[in-house]
Amino acid sequence: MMLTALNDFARARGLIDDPLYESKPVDFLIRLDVKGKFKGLEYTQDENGRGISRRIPRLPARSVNVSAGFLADNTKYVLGHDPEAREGKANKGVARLAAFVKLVKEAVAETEVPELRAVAKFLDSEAARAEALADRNPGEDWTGSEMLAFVVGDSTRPVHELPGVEAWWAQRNAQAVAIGRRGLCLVTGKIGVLAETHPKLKNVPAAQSSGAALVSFNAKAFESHGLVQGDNAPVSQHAALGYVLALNDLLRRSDERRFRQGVELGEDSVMLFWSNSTAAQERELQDVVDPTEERLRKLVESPLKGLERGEFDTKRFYAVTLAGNAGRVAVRDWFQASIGDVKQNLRRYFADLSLGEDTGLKPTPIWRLLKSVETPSGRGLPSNVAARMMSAAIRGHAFPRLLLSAALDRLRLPPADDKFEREQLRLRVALIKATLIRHSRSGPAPLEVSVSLEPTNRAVPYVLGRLFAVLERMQSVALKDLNATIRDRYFGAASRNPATVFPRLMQLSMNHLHKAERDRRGSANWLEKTKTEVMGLLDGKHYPRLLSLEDQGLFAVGYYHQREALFAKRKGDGGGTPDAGSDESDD
Amino acid sequence: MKTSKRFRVRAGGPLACFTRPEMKAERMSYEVMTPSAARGVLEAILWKPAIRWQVHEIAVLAPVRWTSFRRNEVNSRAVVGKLDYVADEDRAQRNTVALRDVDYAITASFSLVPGKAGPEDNVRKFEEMFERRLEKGQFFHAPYLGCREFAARVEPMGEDIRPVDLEVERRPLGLVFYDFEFGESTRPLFFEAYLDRGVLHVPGWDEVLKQNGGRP
Repeated sequence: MMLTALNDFARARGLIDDPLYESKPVDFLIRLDVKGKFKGLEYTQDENGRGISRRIPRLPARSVNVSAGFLADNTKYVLGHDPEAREGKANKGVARLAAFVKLVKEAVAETEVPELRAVAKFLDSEAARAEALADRNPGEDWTGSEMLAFVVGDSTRPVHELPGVEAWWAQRNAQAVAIGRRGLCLVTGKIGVLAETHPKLKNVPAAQSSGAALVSFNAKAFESHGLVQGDNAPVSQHAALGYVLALNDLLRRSDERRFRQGVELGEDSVMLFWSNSTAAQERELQDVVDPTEERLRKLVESPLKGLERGEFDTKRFYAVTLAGNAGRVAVRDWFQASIGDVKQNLRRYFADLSLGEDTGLKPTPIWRLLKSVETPSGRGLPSNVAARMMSAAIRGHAFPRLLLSAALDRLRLPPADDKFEREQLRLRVALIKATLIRHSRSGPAPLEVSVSLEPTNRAVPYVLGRLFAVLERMQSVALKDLNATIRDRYFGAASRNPATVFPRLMQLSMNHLHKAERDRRGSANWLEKTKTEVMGLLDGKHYPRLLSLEDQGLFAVGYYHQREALFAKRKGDGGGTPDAGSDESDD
Repeated sequence: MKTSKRFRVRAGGPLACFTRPEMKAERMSYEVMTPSAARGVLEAILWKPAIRWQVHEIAVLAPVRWTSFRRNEVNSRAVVGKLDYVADEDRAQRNTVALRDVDYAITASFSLVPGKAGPEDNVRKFEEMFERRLEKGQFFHAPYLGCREFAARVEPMGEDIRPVDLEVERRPLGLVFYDFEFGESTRPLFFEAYLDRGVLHVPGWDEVLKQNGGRP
């Protein structure tokens, strides 16, 4: 189903309209006269030094093998020039050049195109090739990957685009197809010529940079019943090209992104998505799921507009998570649904994450969310957490529980960088909140966690969290500029074992209160009143001995809500607390 | 050719991987049990040269859930008599996308194979054998769900089949592996699969052969 969807996508977007040709930047044209004498190199690069894209005969799949393109290829093949060739390493220059020449000679023998003869003559002469190499601009180095093509005489049309040459190329490929084995293609369901090996994917993380195959049978253990290579999974050549072109198109690097239409998930995997809707729809969804910095700034004005109901909601949405494994590509996850369902799930995802009064439904890139709960040592979360989180977001499932403990662990550590601390705290608690909500949706006892402060919530962990925020505030009002606040010292212990920590904190708060009353009576009185209110929500006098992981999460949410409320209060009604203006800076 | 009555067998387990042939190196499962996997379960309980199983229906009783893991495996296949094998030198780390907590009801019958069934063989005899063995939980080798390591719990299935996705009338699954056609050269056969209200209807051999372009 996945390959079928990809193949359909390639057809719909016109990626395989031209199976014999592809579009590639060509850096230089070698100009010859009709007799095959070298006349000069023509630079075809644009102002950025990149070659202008041209339609050239499709290059064969290459890894370590020698296989030449037809009339257009890189300098290693066309001129046998490989600057990376070193002594002691097998020099493939001769073999490459021979392969390139062989194809041209084949064409010369079977056609009457004089330009082809000129090219063959040029290639035969070592002197002429050396001349071409020497014609480079002085000081210019070739890496060996520059693309070359030929023009003959005064023509502006490269040799490979001449009608006679194109006809031969088409005929030759038709012959190659005719000798292939035919059978039922498991992608299209039609009888076709089966591919022996499949083209490769480029730009898959953690895979070989030269390309890796999604469908491959490169070891005995992967084969069945004595079938070799492509016979294990009959796919027509056409469909094999189709799905690979589709994936390569999605994986392509673009100006703003590492993957044109994919979300980077950790070090080693990427989630690609596509639809049978329009490219604009896909872009809009991507901007919501994984906004770039520039898009984020725009999204603030009209957040989540892309998730509103639209005319394409009944169209199909597909997502696949790919991970490289050296020469092979593994599928980690595969998902299909309607665009409308995906939008609905994403809306809920953002609603679950939203926290605090003024934040609204603001999209945050997934990597930034996860970054906020990593330990400061830089040792990241297990690589598949991002993938599981993304999968939970588009499916509407529960988040990995691991996130809860990671976020709580991070909260226990003192803040690493004061500058981003407030935003980081918001992200961490948002993640805790969303994990709790989603967890309880699938669990037995519904756990209510709201967006902002709930003054009537009597859940003990929540109230204790609030109380902790008030105590922290009291301390900061009493004693400014501290090296270590009660949060730095006691947050972890207070959220895990309230019974052992809170009595001591209450004792401390009395001292803080006395000190504060001397200097800033207004603030002190008001905080004392809030403290009594919060304490009133705790029925008994006993603090729980131990809080579970979920309850610790609730504690953190209560802390955050109360903290934000104190902050808002101070900012909001400056008249209520006499010295509101003076302690603006100590948060 | 004599055909038996239709049996109904329930097979389930915590893990299953009905590997898609196109994603075999880095295994990825089909969404539902394939006919050949169902045949394997039945053959684990009773198989004789004289009989051939035909699967008719596979009902999906548990929602489709996925899991994924990586394991250290090897590149070579086991060779009988080869003793100096060092697995550490032949490692292949492979990913598996498997199904979790599966539960199926397989409906199948068998027929006698002409030429293989002797004069003392008859359908009734094998029917009773199968019923007895299924009831007692006997098997030739442990029944499994796609891969040997994912053992199956197998038991007789009552009348009360309740597939999931009852409300989905027809869900296309694409081309699904049917079975191997053994002969001079072995080849895989595929069929167009649908889940009709949670039930996969499996076509017969002749129909599938036609879809696969006849006999080569």
